[in-house]
Amino acid sequence: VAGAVLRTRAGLSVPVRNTIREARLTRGLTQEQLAQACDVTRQTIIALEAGKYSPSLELAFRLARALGRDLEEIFRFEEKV
Amino acid sequence: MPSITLKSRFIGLLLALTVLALLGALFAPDGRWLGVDVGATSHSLYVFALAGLVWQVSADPEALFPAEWSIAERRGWVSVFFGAMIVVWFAHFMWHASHYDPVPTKPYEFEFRHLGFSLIVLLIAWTVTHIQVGARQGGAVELDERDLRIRHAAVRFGDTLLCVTVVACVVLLATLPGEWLTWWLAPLITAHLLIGLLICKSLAENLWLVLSYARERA
Repeated sequence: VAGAVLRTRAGLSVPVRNTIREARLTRGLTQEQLAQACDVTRQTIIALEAGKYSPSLELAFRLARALGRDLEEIFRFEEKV
Repeated sequence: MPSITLKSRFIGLLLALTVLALLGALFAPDGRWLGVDVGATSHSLYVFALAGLVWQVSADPEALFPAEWSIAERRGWVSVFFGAMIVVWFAHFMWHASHYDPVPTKPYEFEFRHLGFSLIVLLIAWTVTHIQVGARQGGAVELDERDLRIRHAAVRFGDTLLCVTVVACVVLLATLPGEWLTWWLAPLITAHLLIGLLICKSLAENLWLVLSYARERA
């Protein structure tokens, strides 16, 4: 499970974790194929899977649709104070 | 067909030759060395090496850039290379201009033709390479939201740098004695300095851009 740590204005650490890699492999897609389906570069998929990038809401929906899952199955919001 | 490693080495050689020839053309001492005019020879070599470099990189960008780099990152490096070359040309020109006495007041008093020709050549080479780096990967996404986010961060960095530089210039204008500033405040010199500032801002933005990509990959 990859996680991109965002920092809010209040200084909270908010990890947004994703299961893109697992879902992609289950569906038998390559990074290139997923990138094409979502109209992004393969480098963005790599960054997402490594938890180094948090996508926009639009891209999150496109990823979920391409992977045939619900949004909350792919992205998990874990707030920690 | 030559292997990718052989091509990579050849492009690396052209890259090094272009930089060395540029430095030779700009900074070689006047006169001849062993009967050779180093400055003029270096300039000819620079033009040929640059043309060869653009041709090779345009024909096969894969030979120069790692496969895991996106088109936007590759273009960022292309911009850094050509931006740095323009900065070197421009700085050299301004260094020469600083020796003019009296201060030039008319455009024709500047020996701008040589710089202008070099800038036009570099801009054409930059444009061709920029287009070809993307065109060779037919159908690939050239710019997505992550690239745009990095680009916006780079532009913000450039804007901040520009603001800091302008404030520093204001402080200098307010504190330095007037006679020290006479040369710098001549209209044509100030105009050139402003153009130089914009060129440096562009280079700083592109440096920030490629460093951001490298940092993300690390």
